[in-house]
Amino acid sequence: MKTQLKVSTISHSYDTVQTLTDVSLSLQRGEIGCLLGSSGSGKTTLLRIIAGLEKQSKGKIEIADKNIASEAIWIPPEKRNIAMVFQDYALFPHLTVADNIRFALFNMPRKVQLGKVEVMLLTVGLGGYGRKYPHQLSGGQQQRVALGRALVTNPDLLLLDEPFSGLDVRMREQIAEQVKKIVKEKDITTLIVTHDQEEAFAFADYVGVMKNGKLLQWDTASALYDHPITSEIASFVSDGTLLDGHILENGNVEYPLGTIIHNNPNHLLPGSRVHVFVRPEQVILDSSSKVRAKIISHVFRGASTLYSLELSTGERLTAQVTGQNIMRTGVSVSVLCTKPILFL
Amino acid sequence: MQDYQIEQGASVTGAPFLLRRWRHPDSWQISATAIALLVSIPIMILMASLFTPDREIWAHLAEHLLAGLLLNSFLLVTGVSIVTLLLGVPLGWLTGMCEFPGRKFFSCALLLPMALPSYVLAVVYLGILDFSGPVERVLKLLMPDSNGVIIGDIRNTPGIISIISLSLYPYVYLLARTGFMTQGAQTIEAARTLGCSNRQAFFRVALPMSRPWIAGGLMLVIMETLADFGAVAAFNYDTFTTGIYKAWYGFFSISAAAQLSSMLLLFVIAILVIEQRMRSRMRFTGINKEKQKRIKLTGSRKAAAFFFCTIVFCLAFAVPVTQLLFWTKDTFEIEFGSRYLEITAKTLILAAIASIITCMAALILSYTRRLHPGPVTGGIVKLATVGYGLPGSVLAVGFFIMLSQIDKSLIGLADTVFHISIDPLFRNTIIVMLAGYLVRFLAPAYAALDSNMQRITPGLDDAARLAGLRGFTLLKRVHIPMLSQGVLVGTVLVFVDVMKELPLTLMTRPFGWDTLAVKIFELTSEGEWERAALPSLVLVLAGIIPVFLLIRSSSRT
Repeated sequence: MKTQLKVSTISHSYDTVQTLTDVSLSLQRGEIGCLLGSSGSGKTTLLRIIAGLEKQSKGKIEIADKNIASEAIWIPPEKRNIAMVFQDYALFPHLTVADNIRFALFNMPRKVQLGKVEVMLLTVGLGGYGRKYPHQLSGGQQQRVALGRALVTNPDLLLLDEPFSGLDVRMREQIAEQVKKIVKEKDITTLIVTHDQEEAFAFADYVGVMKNGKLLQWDTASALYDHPITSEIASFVSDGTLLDGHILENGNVEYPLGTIIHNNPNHLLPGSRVHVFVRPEQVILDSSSKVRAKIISHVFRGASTLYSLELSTGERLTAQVTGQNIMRTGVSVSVLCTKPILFL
Repeated sequence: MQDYQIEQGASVTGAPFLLRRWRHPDSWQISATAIALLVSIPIMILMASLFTPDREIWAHLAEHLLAGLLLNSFLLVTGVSIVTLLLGVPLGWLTGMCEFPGRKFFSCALLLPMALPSYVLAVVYLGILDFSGPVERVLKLLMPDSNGVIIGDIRNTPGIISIISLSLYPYVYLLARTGFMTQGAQTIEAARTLGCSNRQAFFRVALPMSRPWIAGGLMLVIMETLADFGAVAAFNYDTFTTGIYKAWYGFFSISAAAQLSSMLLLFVIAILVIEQRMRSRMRFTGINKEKQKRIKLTGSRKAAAFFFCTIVFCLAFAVPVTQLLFWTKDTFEIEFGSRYLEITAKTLILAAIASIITCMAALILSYTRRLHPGPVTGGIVKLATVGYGLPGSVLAVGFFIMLSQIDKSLIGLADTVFHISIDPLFRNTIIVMLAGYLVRFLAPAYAALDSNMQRITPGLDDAARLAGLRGFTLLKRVHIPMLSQGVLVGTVLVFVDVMKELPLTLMTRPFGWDTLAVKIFELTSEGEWERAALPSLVLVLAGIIPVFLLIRSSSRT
């Protein structure tokens, strides 16, 4: 494995507004990375800086060990061998599908171009569509043309800017799966930007959560889910409730749903306040538990039911319970949390 | 998507339904049809004269005039097309997609030449470059040894091409700029990530994508060039419009004028068809909601962009207006007087009447379209607004023939049926003129009004009805406030256009109805450039108003 993309301490500002602060990340060859964040978090700006469509004010970008943007060197986008799929695809409406795909191949002999186009059309599942114009295609097909146009140059890095947001929900999953299959087969390092956490988890090997121009955590999807470093990240990657707790004399943590074994490595004083993040799917109804809660309302989800609960101490939280038996509002139940996440 | 809906609607409701709606037309439909007829009859009269040529006149025209007129018009149109493209497209690219010092100023300022009618520009440059003009005097001082005239006469083919191009390039500029901007910076960025430099991206993506816009602008330029009368007359450059005028006044031959008009009409209609097709091909893809990312020009390119814009702006606007101001200062005391005030008053009265009539007609068309949407109304509206491309001289001939025919039959009718003799009703009245203005300027008035009318959705009417508003109250509280701005803009546009219109006024005005434009024309034919400055300046000032409206509306969208 070798490092294909290395972003070191990138900062950027529009006029006086700081849009990115000291962002660093790296991807090995063939890995898929994902930048997750709400709009205005700076994720798209970072993508555009990597592509060369914006200039960073500080920091360095290397692709395949080659410096492409630093204080001393700045290579323009057309010389970076980076491909990008834009949010609204940016297909050229005056060119056919085939001409769109071979757009970047203008330095090659015509025969080579056409051969590559044929192969690429089959790869993205659009065989026979070469003579059509973009406006004659559906959204999903246009998306695949954009992907084909990006991949045909065999880029060192593929950038995807909210590539699935224009598609309807059902198609989104299907296309995302196809895209993942294609880039993995071709072993192309990919960086994707999205605001959809499910998409990020399904698509990427590494996920970075961005907020206010900062990369809060860069980790595998499961690490991000199990060990978020702040409660902010925890609530960004999944639903959940933040409950208050405190340190006991023995170092353990007591909170409304019970006690968490904790050896207190930070030597917090007994009585110090801490936070505990509780996810609905990890709250279970268990008659062995001493913690009682009252059902306030419920939402039937088909395979599971979401219950809003109120503890005897007054806190409210949500439990996701699988199974078809729906309990009525007002019923009292015993609850516990299987995997509380502790934030000191 | 929209095409599909229309198609579907037509197949469901079908032709019988549409005809049913038109079988018992209401007063809106009758009025709209009458307006469309008023436009189409003179056109049909002229077309008829094309197919029923008077042999003797035809032979004369073919022998002495036609070849020259065709060659001149061809040279003029080709030359003006090339120059306006070379000016308009780069200017549109620079101000639309690039960033350089003065970009904001130039993006508006480069539209200002639209305020100068081409004949005013012609007059100014004839004066500036005259053998007694300021440039010649400066050159004489610099080169005291030279004998005779240094510049020479600019009344030649390159001269007239330059003048008309300087006054018409804003059409190409405006549309090219809109094309570049609406195609979105994102496609340029996509091209950059696919290995194109900015230069390559321009030629491979931006230019081909904006082709419908640029071609649309070019067609407007060609139509205006073919319609131009004042500038070519001032340059003694014979085209169809001057040919028509000479046939009319020189030989007093209506049929020769009609013959020439019908040929010009044919060309103009061909251009009009191309223009419509281009318009339908303008597709707004990938409109970028985010802040436009402009290409930052650096170094010598930055300087070159600035100087290019500066030179065009100076030649097309700053220099001529400055010259007009100086001349006005010199001649004001002699020119400004009761005669001048009378002409100005007549101009304003004429413009006011014409703009009110035209806006009322536009309102009728717009309401008819709203109340009875469908292909029949659509066709009527299209027919009624076709006149904007027609040269004023052609309309003058068409209306003159039509109304004198009506006069003749009325006189005949009175004589045979009632045995009385009456005077012609229309001849030597301003009715011919007003009909001509209405036809020529209905399209801009309609466009201004209809854009507001479309904002009054059927849902709005329903909501107002549910709130208890009916009939006149509904009009007063919903429609009139929502339409007032469109009516105002439409009126202003027509008002200024009528003030500037030369050939139609010149050829149809009754005795005593000289306007400022006619005054300028008369002074120009006598070579009195400086004395034409005062009326020209008034027209330029009036002309700036619609340019500001244009700038305001384009900056809003």
